[in-house]
Amino acid sequence: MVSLQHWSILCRLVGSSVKINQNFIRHARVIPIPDPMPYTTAIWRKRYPYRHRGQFEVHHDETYTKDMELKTLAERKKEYNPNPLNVKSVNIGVPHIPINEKLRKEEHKKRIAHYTAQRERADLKKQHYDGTLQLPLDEVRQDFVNSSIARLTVHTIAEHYNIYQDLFKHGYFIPQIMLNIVYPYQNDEVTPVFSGNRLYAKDASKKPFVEFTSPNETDLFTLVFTNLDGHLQQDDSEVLHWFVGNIPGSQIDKGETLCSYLPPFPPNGTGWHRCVFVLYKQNEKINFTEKYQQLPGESVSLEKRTFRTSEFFDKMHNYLRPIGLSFFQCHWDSSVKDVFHHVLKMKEPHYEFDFEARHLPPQEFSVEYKPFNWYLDQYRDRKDVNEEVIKHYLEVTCPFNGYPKISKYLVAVPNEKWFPDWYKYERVRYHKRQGKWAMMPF
Amino acid sequence: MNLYRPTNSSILSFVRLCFQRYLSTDVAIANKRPETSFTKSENENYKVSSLILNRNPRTLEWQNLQYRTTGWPLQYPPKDYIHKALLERTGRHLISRIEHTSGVTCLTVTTREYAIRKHLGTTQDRTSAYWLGVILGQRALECGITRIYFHHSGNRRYEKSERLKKFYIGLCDSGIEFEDNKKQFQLTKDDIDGVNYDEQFKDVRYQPPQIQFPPDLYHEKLHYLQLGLQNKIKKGVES
Repeated sequence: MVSLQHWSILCRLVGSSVKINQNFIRHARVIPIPDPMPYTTAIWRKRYPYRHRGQFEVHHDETYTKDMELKTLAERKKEYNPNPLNVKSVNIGVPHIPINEKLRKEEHKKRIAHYTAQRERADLKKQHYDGTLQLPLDEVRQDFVNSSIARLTVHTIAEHYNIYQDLFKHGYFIPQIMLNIVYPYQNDEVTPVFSGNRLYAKDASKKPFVEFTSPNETDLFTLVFTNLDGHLQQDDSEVLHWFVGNIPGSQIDKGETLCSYLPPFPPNGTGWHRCVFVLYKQNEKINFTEKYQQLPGESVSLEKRTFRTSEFFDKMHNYLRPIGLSFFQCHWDSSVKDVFHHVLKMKEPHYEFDFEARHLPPQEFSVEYKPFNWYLDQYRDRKDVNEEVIKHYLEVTCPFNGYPKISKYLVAVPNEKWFPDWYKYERVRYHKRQGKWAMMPF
Repeated sequence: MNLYRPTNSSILSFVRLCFQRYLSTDVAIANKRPETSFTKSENENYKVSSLILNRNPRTLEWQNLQYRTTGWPLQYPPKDYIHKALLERTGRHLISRIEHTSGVTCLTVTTREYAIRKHLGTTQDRTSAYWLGVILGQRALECGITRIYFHHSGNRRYEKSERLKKFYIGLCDSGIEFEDNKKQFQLTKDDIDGVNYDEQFKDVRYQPPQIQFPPDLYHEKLHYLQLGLQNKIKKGVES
């Protein structure tokens, strides 16, 4: 690299007969370039100590400090929701009754003795080693149901299914009484309800048998059966299927049914609905019409059957406390149609999942390597696509045209004349009922 | 959000009605309006909403509509699952649990429970692991968890450990399904091509606040610089 000074000296020595083109001397001229990374490069160049010697000088004095003016996450959250609700959920259940300490310690000692005895049994060890050990699962289940671990499992599962938030907005409870709910099926068979079962809606069309053990015979309970997801107008309310109040002991028949049993009716296409049984413990006999509201007795109107457990509990929390929980899941079934037509006496709605809007890039006039009919269909209005299918269906089923001749293996039949490839592929999709043709009922 | 909307089957249902009427031989009956019990019901004026929200957080998972944690195919342990079963070992007991992708444990079954430990001689044996698997599978079915992911494929720890193998044999014997990720297709859009221009940018239910994200300004500036319009910056693009 020859510096300018040397070059000028050389010229003088030579006799200044050589003309120097200043444009080819790169370091004599500053070359402006656009700054693709204004933040980092500008700041760096301002601070770089040798910037005055380099080719690439900074033109503009400004530095990108807009990032310092950006809002913090907390500020942006506050803009989004200026009054957020920071509430921890509260235990609204019945206060825990401690067990007799003496009894508990005795029981514990017995169990420890049993475990030590088991450890010293040689026949058990052999069974473990051979893999021939058999556990009586009925007994295991019975012991499990009577233990406190069953209550905690119901609690964790209910949290997993978000039941406490949907029932009581800011409350939870650990169920202390296990409900044994059973739907009659056929002959002597029954379908039980545990915590989160999957049932057919057909199984739940009749009233279930509810059993539970109350600690005192004089206690009064209420049982409320609601569908958390099945309300057809509002998002945050439930549908009340069954309400029985002032149940003495554990005999449901002797309680007042303030709301007759209505089988669950999850509409077609809406997925799995959670249907919850909540058992409340009462302090005294309650007149619900006075203290809460007039509950629908035998009526089937869905307006009267809207129910909000949070409002119910807000009004009645001095008289009631939740003590038992059991729930199942059900989805649409052919029996739900009968419920809509014969019990509710209304038309059955049919739903489908509302997908997010398709992300499509802006439409271009000509596109390479894509079938033109497929590309154009992506940007058509959905209604036009459906109209085309329906018009074709009407043509096929027009009664004046006679019964349509449909051969069995349409995809294997050769076409009657030459068609372009894109047309052939469309016909195959039609025969297989793919894409928009899936809407055809047959 | 689990939103559901009615199909465009109102036209089709009308069509079906017409077809049935025309099929009937008696034209007089076809012309007469059929008497139904819909007119004398309490729900005759009940208007069903066009969008229904299902608040159950687990529906989409069972319908293959929920977005799965795909994108880590080269990482181990795999993350593309909904529920998986784990067997852990403490000092003197075995803990088996079912875990969700979010990290929440849905169910735990341990040998500490009296109901199980009553019948066992040792608590860390492979047969006790087998029975834990059986009981965990049963309780999972009672709780609505019908599919479990087997996340030990290609794991040498699994191949060596007899206890883990017996645990999974127990799960199989309990009747619970094992999911196959390759068969679970995530549905992100419906079959019908086309765009619903009426409702594309209009979400009836949820309206997020109109806050500009800061990089808008940066991108504008970059665009003008690339085009060579540096003077525009000084004039008034930045507010």
